Amino acid sequence: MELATFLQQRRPDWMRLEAILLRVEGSGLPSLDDEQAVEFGQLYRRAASDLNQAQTFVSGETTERYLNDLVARAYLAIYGKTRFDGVELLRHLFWSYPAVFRRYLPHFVLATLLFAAGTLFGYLASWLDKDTARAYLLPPHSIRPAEKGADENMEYDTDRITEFSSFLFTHNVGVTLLAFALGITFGLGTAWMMFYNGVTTGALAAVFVEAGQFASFATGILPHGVLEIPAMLLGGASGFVLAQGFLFVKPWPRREEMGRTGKRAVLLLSGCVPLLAVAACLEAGVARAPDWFLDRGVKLAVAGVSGALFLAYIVLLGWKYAAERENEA
Amino acid sequence: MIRHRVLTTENVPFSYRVAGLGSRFLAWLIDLLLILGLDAMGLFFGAVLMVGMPGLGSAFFLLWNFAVLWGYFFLFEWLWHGQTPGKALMGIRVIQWRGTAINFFQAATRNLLRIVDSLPIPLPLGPGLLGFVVAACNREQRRLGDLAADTLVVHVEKKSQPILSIPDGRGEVERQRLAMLRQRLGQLEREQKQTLLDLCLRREQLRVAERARLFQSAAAFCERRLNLTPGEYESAEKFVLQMAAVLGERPGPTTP
Repeated sequence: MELATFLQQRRPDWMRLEAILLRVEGSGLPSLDDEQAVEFGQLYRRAASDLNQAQTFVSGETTERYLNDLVARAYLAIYGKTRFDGVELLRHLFWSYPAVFRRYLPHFVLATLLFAAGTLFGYLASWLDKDTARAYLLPPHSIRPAEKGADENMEYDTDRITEFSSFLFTHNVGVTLLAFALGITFGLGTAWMMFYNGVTTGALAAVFVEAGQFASFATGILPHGVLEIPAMLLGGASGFVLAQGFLFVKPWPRREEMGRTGKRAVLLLSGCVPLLAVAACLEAGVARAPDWFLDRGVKLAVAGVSGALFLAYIVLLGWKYAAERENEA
Repeated sequence: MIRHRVLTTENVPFSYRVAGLGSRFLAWLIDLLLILGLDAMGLFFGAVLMVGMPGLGSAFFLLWNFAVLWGYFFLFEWLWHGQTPGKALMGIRVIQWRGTAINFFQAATRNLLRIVDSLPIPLPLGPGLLGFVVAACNREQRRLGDLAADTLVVHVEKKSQPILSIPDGRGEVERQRLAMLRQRLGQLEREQKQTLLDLCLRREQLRVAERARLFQSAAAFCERRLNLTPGEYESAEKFVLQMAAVLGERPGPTTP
């Protein structure tokens, strides 16, 4: 076809497409009625094929660029919007999460091993060289061995619990998200964070053991630790999932693999937010409660129940949902 | 200008204009100002609450600040089809590598990694030195978050300038002259043909004086280079349009 004829014949359709596009970009696809929607689709397909034609013969950069931009706009208008359904998303996350967790158990175990190694190191370091270890290794904001009489004078009311739990929540989520994001440093940053968190925990344990207060260490750590530590390890595990996408060769381009692992890693990571929210409330409300307020037995019971609930969720749920998804995919 | 080529589902290739670091940085600055504003709001409400209940007030601020720092970019890009207010103002947008809108997971990945992109100072607001260096080192200027989420930032094409059609003036030309035109125009290089066509297609977008001047010089070029002269009483513009009509013919067997 000659350019003159081509332009003459096709231009009215392009103008029409532009008019519809303006409307769609302004008020969205739902603003079109059935007839217009069908027309929009047809006009878009025709413009795409016109672009294809324009690219094959000398039609002037202008024509090509014009059609290119027209097609790009229409493409984003048609394929450009993801439907937002919060309830569906939460439902999906809740049911698919245990399966995701089980799938990445090796990554979780790796994070756990690093954490355990760190704990051992921290404990031994604190045992061998007390002063240096105490100066450098103790975690900030953590519990300390109680001095006599301190317990009775402790400030303890709901207002303080609210403040302290939200501080803990934001701080811990921040640390966990950083552990995940550092996965992009080929997992080295994540590994270091897992190890370092272990070191501080181990050093703290050593301090309590030395003061002969291991029981108060257990009751001060466990009620929230049974959720907080797994959540932190989850951050590490998802960091390792991310690193895996970078590190290993696949039959498809690394770019594609990274896109895929990014999604899986975020899915795995998402679990840490509710876990840390509950953990922060437990830490501020239960673990730090003075002993005259909450019996140590109650604290340990809380730890046992929340740990068991989490374990049951991970082990028991999501089998059927995961199987269905597998079949669909 | 860097273009990112995409295949539509109908297998037609088209391309996006990749957004440069300049416009992305400006968009980020705008977003940063908004974030600071939101934070100031949180501080204000927190301070009001703090009068009655100090714990609740600071809890509110902590949570608010946290949500703004980590959630601003993520929520906007997720719910507002790849744009934050700053990006919308700068006319840029985040898309998937294959050209469609980003989804929940991509928005999350790309924005959670801001804290690494902002190294050496780890801030969830990012990107800092590391992200800048990484983006400057690859063709589509993607930072680490983009690499991990398989996304890139492109310009949103605005309403385009309408193009004109070329009047087919060939009927008025004798067959002999038409054949000569075809043969002579064949000697032009591709860029020269393109320039002539572009001039004709965009002639309405030029101011009158420029339009006349450009057509004059195009006609003069053709006279000099191709040894063609405009017919009697023929304006420079008409002369060039005539040639454009011949140029627009599909190469190969031509219709008489």
